[in-house]
Formats: sequence, C-alpha cells, structure tokens
Amino acid sequence: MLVLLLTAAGARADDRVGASVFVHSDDDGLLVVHPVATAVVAVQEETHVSARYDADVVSAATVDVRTSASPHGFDETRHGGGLGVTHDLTRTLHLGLGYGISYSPDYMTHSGAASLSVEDDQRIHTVGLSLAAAYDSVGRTGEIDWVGHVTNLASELSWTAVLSPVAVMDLVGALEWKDGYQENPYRYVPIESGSGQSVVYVTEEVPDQRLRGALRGRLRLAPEDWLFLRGSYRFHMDDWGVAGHTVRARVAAEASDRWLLSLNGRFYSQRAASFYQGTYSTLPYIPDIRTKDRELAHSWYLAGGARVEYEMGGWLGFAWRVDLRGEVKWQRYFDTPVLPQRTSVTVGFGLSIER
Amino acid sequence: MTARCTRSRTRHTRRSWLSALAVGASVALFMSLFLLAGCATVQPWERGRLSHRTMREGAEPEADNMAAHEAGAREGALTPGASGGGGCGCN
Repeated sequence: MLVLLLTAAGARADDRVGASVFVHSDDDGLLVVHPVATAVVAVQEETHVSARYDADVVSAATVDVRTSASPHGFDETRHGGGLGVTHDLTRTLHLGLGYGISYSPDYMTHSGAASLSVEDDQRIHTVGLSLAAAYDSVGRTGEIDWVGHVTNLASELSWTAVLSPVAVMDLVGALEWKDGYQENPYRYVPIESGSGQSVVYVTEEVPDQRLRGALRGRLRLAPEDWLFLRGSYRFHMDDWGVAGHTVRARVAAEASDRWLLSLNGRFYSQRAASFYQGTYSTLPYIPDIRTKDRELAHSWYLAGGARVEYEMGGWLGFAWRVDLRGEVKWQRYFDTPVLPQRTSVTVGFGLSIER
Repeated sequence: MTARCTRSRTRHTRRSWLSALAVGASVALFMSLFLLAGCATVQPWERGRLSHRTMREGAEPEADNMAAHEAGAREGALTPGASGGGGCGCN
C-alpha cells in the first residue's frame, strides 16, 4: 500500500492507482489468494505509463494433484508483473507497448505486446490492432532444467462504434498460435485393457501446435443516467476440435452519488477436443495422443455475482473508492471419470484512487 | 453399438449446425448494428453517459487482469498485457 501511495504522489491528471485481493476456493480442494495492484500515471499530456504486480498464492489438494503429483497436495506462489506505455501520436492515433513476466517454480512466462488504434475525426469508429508474443518455460518443482518451452503468438483486431448517445458496440476477432510443450508434466494418463483388469500409466501427450480463433461482440448501453448495461457473446474454436461459447451480461446501477451496485452473469459451454476420451481402453496399444485434462472435455458452467462500490469522497485531490464483490460458479464436466462437477466461490475487496 | 454411434454422430452434427447458426446470426446482428453506426453522429456534449466509468474500457484493471488470467487458462485467450500462465492451480 505504501508503494501505491508513493506512486500516487507523483501522479498527474488521468491517474489511477488500485489494489485488490481476490480469494478463490472450490469444493475440489483448491484455494487461490490473488493480490493485484495496478497504476497508471500520465507523465505528459499524451503519454501514460502503467505498472502491474500480481500473485497467485495457491494451496491445492485437488483430486488431480493427489492422484498425479503429490498425495498431500502442494503450496506454491506465482509472481507476475508488467510495464506498459501508451502514447497519443496524434489526436486520433494511439500507440501502446507492454512487457510482462510471470514466474512460479514450475512455470515462467515472458510476454510482449504492441497495439495501435485509430479513430475517425468524429470519434464514432475506433479500429485497433494488437500483437502479442509470449515464451513459456514449463518444468517440475524441484528440478533444475525445464521440461519444455512454448512459443505463443497472438493478434487481435477490434472495431468499436458509438451507435448513439447511449450505446457503444465493439467487435473483436483474435487468432492465437501456440507451438511447443503443451502437456502437464505432472499428469499421467491411465491406459486400460478392454476388460479393465490391466492398467498402465503413461505421460500425457497432446499435439505440439495449436491454432485458436475467437470472435466477440459486445454491446454497452446507458438507458438512464443511473443505469448501465452490458452484454457480450464470444465464440472460440481451435484445431484440436475444442469450440466454446461464452455469454456475459452485467447490470450496474447508481443507487446514489456514492453507491454503485452491479450484478453479473456468465454462461460458458465447450465441446471436447477431438482426441479427448474419458477412458482409454486400448492396451496393449498406447495412443500417440492422450490426455485426461478435463479442461479439454465437454463442459459448461454458469456463474453469477454481485459487486458493491462506495465512493468515499475526495481526499488529496483524488476520488477514493472501495469495492466488495463475490461470484459463485457451478461447472459441469462430461465424460470425466472423476469430478463430474465443481462449485467455486470467488470474493474480492479493492481500493482505488483516481483523478 | 452401431445405433448408439449413429445417434451420437447425428447429435454431434446437429450441435455443430446449431453452433454455426448461432455464430452466423450473432455476426449478422453485430454487422447490421455497425452499419447503422455509419449513420450516427454523436456530438461530444452528448456523450455524458458514455463517459461514465462503468461504460469505459479497462475501468477496473484489477478485476480485468483476474478475468483475463482465468480466461487464458480455461477458455483459450492470450490477452495482451495480462498475467502469464501457471499459478492458478490448473496447469
């Protein structure tokens, strides 16, 4: 918090500093505490710099961990950080650059991103292009060498349009290419004989390349001075055969000058990867591609939550706000021998200052 | 066994068609609204409601970062600038 205040001390117009803590827990023995702090500071009228720190403090004794990696579960911490700069090249042309790093004992990511957006003179339409690249290293905790590496390349093309004084819409298309080690080094797949009497456990094997595409449309509405709505639909698919639909909706209402209340809901449905099987009964033959990653299985989830924000007023020239949020998610998996469903709860508390 | 396979294939084909129809209809709807936007003229002084922080992109960066981190692990999305992989108990 001291760092946040020191950063805020050097802040100018359009500055914002915020910090939140999220706690995520599910009925499969997973507990994640996720603190995150972000700061955006205008160093010149047309140039902003931003910084982010976040972490995941994980305590996991899930059924997958207990049966594959450690019978007693594990505790682990991931640290992540990022730096970014945006610059207005002209009144309607904006450039952004960013770098991020994420480290845990068995996973490290370096990523870079560049974006360019252009608006028309009336500022009705905005078209943006983002390019990102990341290099991941995957390993096992306690081992010196990485098991493998993954190269990620991603691009995103967006189009935002102001439809009326109360409506904004955007359409986003994205492509992502992954190449490298995409298995979980802790995961072993049981291969059974037809009778089920013999079982051998072999390491997970999935294709080295993966091409994903996604399309998202979103509508933001402000039908009243105090009422704000947003809804979106996202479709994604990849060459592993996975295809998913995500529908999101949010209603936010200003109950007074200080209170902002919002409700949100999400529905997600996913088709399984073409090579996913709940049980591989192929012994003595061992398939070249095999996985028991339930995130590649047919699944769907429903989530709903609420958020309350309170504006404490102006102090030191900033608007100070606190918020409290919570969300419940129920996920159903199909063709998974264990854990056919999972319920999780996420709660979060945040503080931000802005001017 | 053969009948079950045929039923499963039919269900799969029907689901694929429904998916394609849903995506096609959504794209058509959004494109229509975008074309309507071509006729819109919204002056700066008419944008009071649109400038409210709940209407702005990236108004809650901490929550956006958490959501992008989860989406990257579960729904296949590399969000430029978001947290990298690992650490969420899912890798």
